[in-house]
Amino acid sequence: MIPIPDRLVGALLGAGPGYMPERASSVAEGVDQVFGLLFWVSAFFLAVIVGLTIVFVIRYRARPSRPGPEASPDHSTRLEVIWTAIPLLLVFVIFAASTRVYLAMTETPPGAAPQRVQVTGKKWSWWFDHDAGKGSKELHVLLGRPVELVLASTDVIHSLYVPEFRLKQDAVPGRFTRMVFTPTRAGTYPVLCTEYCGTNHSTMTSIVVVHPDQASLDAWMQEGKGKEETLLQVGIRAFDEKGCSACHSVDGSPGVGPTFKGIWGKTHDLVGGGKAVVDENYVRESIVKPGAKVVAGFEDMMPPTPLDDREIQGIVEYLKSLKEGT
Amino acid sequence: MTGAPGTSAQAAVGESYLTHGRGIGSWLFSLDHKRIGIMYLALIAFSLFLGGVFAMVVRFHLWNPSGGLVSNDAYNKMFTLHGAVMIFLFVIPGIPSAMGNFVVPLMVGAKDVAFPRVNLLSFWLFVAGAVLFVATLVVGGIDTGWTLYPPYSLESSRGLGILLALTGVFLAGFSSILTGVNFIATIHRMRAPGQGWFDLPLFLWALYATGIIQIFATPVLGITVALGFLERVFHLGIFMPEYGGDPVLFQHFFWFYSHPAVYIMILPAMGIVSEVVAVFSRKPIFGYRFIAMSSIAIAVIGFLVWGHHMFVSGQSRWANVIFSFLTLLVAIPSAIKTFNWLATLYKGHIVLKTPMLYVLSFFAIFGVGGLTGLFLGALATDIPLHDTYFVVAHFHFVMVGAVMIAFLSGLFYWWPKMTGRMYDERLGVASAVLVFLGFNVTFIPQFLAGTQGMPRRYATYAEQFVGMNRVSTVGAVLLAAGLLVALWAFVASLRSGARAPANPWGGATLEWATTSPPPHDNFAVAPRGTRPYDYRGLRQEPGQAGWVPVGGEGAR
Amino acid sequence: MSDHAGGHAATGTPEQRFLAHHFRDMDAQLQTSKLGIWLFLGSEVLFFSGLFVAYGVYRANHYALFHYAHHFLDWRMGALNTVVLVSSSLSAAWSVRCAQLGDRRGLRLTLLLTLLLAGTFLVVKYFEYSHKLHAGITWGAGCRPSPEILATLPASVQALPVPRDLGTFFSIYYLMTGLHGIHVLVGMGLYLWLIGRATRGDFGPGYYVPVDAVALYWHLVDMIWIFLFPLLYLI
Repeated sequence: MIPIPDRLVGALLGAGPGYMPERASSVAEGVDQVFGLLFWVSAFFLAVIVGLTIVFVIRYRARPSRPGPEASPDHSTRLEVIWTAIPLLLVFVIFAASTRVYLAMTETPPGAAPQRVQVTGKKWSWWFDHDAGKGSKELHVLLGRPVELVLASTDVIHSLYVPEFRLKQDAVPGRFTRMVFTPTRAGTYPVLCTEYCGTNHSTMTSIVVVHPDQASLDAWMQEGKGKEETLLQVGIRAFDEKGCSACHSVDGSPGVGPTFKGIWGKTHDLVGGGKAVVDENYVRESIVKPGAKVVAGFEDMMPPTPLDDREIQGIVEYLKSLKEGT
Repeated sequence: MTGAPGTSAQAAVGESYLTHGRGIGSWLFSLDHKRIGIMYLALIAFSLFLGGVFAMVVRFHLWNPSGGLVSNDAYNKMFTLHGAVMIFLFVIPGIPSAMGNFVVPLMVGAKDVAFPRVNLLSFWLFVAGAVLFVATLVVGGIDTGWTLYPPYSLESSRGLGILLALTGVFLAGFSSILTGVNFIATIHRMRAPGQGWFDLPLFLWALYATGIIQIFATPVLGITVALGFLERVFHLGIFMPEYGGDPVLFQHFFWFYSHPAVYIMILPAMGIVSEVVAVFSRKPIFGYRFIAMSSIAIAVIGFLVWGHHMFVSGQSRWANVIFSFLTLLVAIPSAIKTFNWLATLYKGHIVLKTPMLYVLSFFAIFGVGGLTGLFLGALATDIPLHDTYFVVAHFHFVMVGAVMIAFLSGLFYWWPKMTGRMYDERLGVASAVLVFLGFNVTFIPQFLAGTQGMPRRYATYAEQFVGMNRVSTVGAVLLAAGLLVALWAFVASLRSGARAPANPWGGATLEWATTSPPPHDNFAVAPRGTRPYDYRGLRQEPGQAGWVPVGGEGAR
Repeated sequence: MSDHAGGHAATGTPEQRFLAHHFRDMDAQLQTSKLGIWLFLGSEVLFFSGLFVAYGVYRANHYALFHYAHHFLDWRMGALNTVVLVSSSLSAAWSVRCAQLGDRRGLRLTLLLTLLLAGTFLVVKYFEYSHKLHAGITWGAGCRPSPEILATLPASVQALPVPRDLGTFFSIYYLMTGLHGIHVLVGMGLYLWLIGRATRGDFGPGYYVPVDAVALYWHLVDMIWIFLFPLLYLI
């Protein structure tokens, strides 16, 4: 191989996707190559279209020295065949290049057995159940080890998107979807929701942490285990991790749901009449069956939230701690 | 205005359609395709204004990364209404219903469309649909996005708004079907004697292809929104997983219509481009048959590509691969058209009037819109780009850039025919330049934001995108200014425009053979078909008199 | 509308008064109208196709459920309605022939017969619907068949547990037959209108566009039922 054309090709390909986010997964390079190919094909044709338009307008514009159109044919089968065949050929090239990359993107990458993570989307947070048993608001994976995400949703359609991985997959209620990749660069990257899901769609974000080595990942997996948490700590963690904060503020500011500040012991008017005192049972019912008693002035839109008993107790402790005026 | 050539001819052919019948009732219940076209035009222009106001709220909200102009919910309602109003009330009906209604019978030398009563019914269905859209605002608006994806759109907490919107879509769709039936029947059966299929102006080929899509794709939208309505009211379990339904089925149904709908938007735009580019190059359109057949090809392939909206929905890999291939194929007929238009410019006599300026900017903008479609048709690049601002920029290039610019081109082109008045060329040119600049400044930054990973429909966004969003907002102001200048040009023309001659541009299609504005029955004597792009039989009169047949009136 | 009458009134056959001003002659009007109707019917087919696709998807996903559920539908009622509708199509076709031949009495009779058969279809359908709704067979999650109706099923079917999502089948059943029923109702309205015009003596060999158009519509309604019957009742 002669090195110069290679470098030239590399430079040309690089110029197209140069403003893409950095590449942090096994599929990113293939995607960027296809992007580069498309970029230059498009740039070429756009230059032809705009260039010819400008040249023809300048040369053939109506002006006193040019009384009328010159004689020229009004059709040419040869030209039509040429400008049908060239795009057709390019379509085949683009299709082949893109499909090859796509098929590789959707196949479990070779190497070690993949780390499996169950992903649950709900309004408006992500939840990642890692195969070591640890659930978290964040996704934690290992550099170089394949990952298989199985996505589900408890309410509406969401879509998990990590720009640095060049990957995206809808989470659809009532079915499971799948996303596979191998992280290729350690670091922390944003996780976004790209299927419109309502009020706080744009803040339904999380992070994915790519750990550089097993020890680092293990350390994270062990975090919080073994240490006994107080009920209050359990509650604060559950409040944070299960995404309650997307709708319920703790400082009294208005949100999609009632603020938790000073809520404990309060008597609420309910949608459809009646009243309810915020006590242990009301809190439990509101978490397990959110639509049962909805506070007047709010909509029945909270998804049922899977908390265990200890976490519910923790939430109760947390609510007690959020007194008015503190 | 004495001595304008229209006046003497006017007396011979009867009074103009504008003065035939007086009073508001003679408009609202008119069966005259020209008046129905004008009423559509008024309503569609209003929809463009309304959708534009929503767009400006969206753009100004995005000035700061944390939003702040309106609440997240209000923002979500704004972009939903912006999309729904623009798509269902402006770009889909825009060119076919407003200009098609006015021009189609004239171009085939007929007195009216095939079914004038159906045409009026179609108009009123459209009005009813538009009223329901506005009514959703009154009951608090909807925040579902114009795509109305369940489960979000049909959640049990939703009230009247979604039902009104679904009904509005249903009525607007029914209106569109009836318009399509009318155009196809008119083009098939009512052509002037001697006007063969390949003597049809290319605008009619485009509307014929559009009609096919309107008739065969729109009913699927109809049944989809009807099912959505019944699902919301009766919990049938068709689309909602909580009752046993499948939300992805909705997406299939929705895009089976809504992707071909993109071709309902762009094909008539391409038709206008074909007319204007030939007339203002003063030479026959290049590759007539290829342009005509590529319209039909786009319509047919357009039915088979809906799955490319669902590449990340969990659809099977091989379905994705097939849809990707079919999608990329649409590039071929689009390329054929573009090259034929460029070849029409070659050795022409290019007259840079407003309609032509719009068409020249169409070439660049449709070029960008079409070519960026490749990125979204190819699977590998669509996965990261799907539902980002790249998609937003792409479809605005096609639907706003290409379609709206062609719409304006057509409006300036046929304005003298519709109103009998010329517009001020300086205002026209200014609007064309401002719209082109404003458009590019608005949407090119969105390609960059999308490539870097900014998702669409975000009320707030990451700090890194602030520059691109601000440039985009500035562009939107320029674009709005361009549209206001165009509006100014039209209003000024109505108030004090010079009288238009029958044929101000030297067009050879039949609508230019009658007076401006045409009489109620369109033609004094039923015309015979002509060759639509043969300009040799016309010569330009001095002054404002426009073009007349060589050798006097009888020569045609 | 007044400006579309007249113009041609003075010339030619009496039917010329129905020639709209923008058509060259009666034949152009007939051919154009027929094309328009065919296009509209094409649109109708696509409208129903959405439901047929939904049927196919859900049948494929819930094969056992669909097989179980069809036992609730009485094929004899369905067959009766099929005979009724096919007969009405025949009489609709006959009415076009009568109009073409100028047989005014025959035209009125066949139009009336078509209307009555359409009414019969809806009466049978009404009995089917009310029977099911009384037995608790509704749509969606609310579908709870009563013990009485379960006892009427074949013994081999009774042995099976009642599927949890039985309502999915009946949602589709009510949707498809309901939409079809609305089309039958619209058809009855159109036949009523035709009977009125036929009694006034509007139709004859020179002008029978509405009779022809409505008959084409009616054949489509019939055709759709011919697909619905086996899909819902028999398999």
